[in-house]
Amino acid sequence: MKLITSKIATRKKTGRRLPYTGLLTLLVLFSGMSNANEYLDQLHQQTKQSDIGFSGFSATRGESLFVTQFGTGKPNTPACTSCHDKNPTLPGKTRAGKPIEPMAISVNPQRYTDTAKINKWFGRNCRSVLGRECTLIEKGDFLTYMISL
Amino acid sequence: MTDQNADQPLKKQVSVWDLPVRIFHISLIIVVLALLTTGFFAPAWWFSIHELLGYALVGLMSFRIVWAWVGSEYSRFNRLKLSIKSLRSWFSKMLNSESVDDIGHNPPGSWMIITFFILLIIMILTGYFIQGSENLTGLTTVITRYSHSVILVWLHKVTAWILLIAIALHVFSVILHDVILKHALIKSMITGYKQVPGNTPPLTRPKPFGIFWALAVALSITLFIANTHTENSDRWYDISLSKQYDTYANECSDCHFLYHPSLNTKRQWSAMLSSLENHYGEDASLSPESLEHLIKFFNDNNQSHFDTRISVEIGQSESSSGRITDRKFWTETHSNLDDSLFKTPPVYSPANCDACHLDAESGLFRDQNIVLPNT
Repeated sequence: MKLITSKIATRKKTGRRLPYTGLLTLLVLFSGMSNANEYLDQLHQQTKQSDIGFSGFSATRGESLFVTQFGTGKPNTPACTSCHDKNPTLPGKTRAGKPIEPMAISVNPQRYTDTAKINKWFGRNCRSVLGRECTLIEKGDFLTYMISL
Repeated sequence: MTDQNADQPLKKQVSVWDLPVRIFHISLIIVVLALLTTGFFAPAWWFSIHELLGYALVGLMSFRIVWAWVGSEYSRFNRLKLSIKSLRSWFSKMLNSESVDDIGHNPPGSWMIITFFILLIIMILTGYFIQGSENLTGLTTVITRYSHSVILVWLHKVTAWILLIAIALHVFSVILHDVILKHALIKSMITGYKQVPGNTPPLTRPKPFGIFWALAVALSITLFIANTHTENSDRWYDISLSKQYDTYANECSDCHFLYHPSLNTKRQWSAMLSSLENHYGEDASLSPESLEHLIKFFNDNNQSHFDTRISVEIGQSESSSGRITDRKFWTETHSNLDDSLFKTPPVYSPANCDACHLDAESGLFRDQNIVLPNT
């Protein structure tokens, strides 16, 4: 329901008549983005509750988190970019040789549509790369960066 | 000398070897030489060619056996000279430099033919049983175990060596006949014609429609043998139909190729599942529900449930790292491959079995399904 109303709102705002294919593309894009945004909204609220000085997530901080060589986690995975491509619109490769779909939502709308999956991978990969769980701000920055591209 | 036979030619030209026999003979030379070459020298990823040539040999042999009943006079089995008496008299004539005029196969040649037939049939049978035992292809899958492949491969190899010796003997004798006895065997092998005594009665012609019978039998046997696949047996089943397989695929295939359960013992799988927070250098923790599903999956599907090359050679062996690529069978079978192959696209990693083994996810890893990528 939320999806449909947001779509109608978009149509009213832009006032354009889009062909069906355009509508479908938008639907796919928005369903992905609305989920990613929902997740981001939750992160935002949780962060605000725990951190009074919080002024919002930053794509720039997200980018530096993505490319920094931490080396505090497991030896083979010092950075996110050990497996993901430095350019999140390009596919990466796992250490076992499997391709990883791009991380940027603009080229891969299926990303961040499944909350359980987001949690699973934040859990695994933060521990692999950083050697600890990620903070709410780190997660928010990361997602903001991936949505911004 | 010509006086008493003045009105009758001493010799006449007769077609002894009919066209099907000559085509069979030349095809057999090509197929057997190609089989021996691929068998002795070709790497595993050429095996599909050896297999196809094997089916061609089945076709040729079944054609020739039928043709030995329905073909022209000297293509028939009953014209072979197989008695010990004829063999003895042939050799004594030879030693006394008397003329030996055999229109078809002479006695030692007849024995050579029988030897070839027996050897080639042993080659076909052992080859077909190896297919069942080692690759789980064909009807012999259900009556063999993987453990039989050791003796079968040994038999196949020994017979191949005997065959090589027989071929050498055969070629040597033919050259001897041609050069010393001036029998022009090689020419008759190609044209079919031989000089025979003028008083030789006309030769029996092939039976009507004999060629259709021979071709029909050869084609049916070959297609039957080449197309019989019995995959589901007590030795192998399709794991993708097992319970909890979806969990395995969903949880594990994001990072790596789906290793077949037969690659590890139950103990090895459960050790792996209890240390997922450090899974070959990465954290691969799972939700408690998923972990429970996977424990069930590998309890019900593991090395002990399969009798394949992989389940025996890899699944039953161990390596200190736990890695499949560190086990003896893996390193031995991949030692002739360049290291760079595993590091460059599209393989990227030796952990990526299905980059070359097209049937890796089924756990069968048949030689005929190896395709080296173009790099």
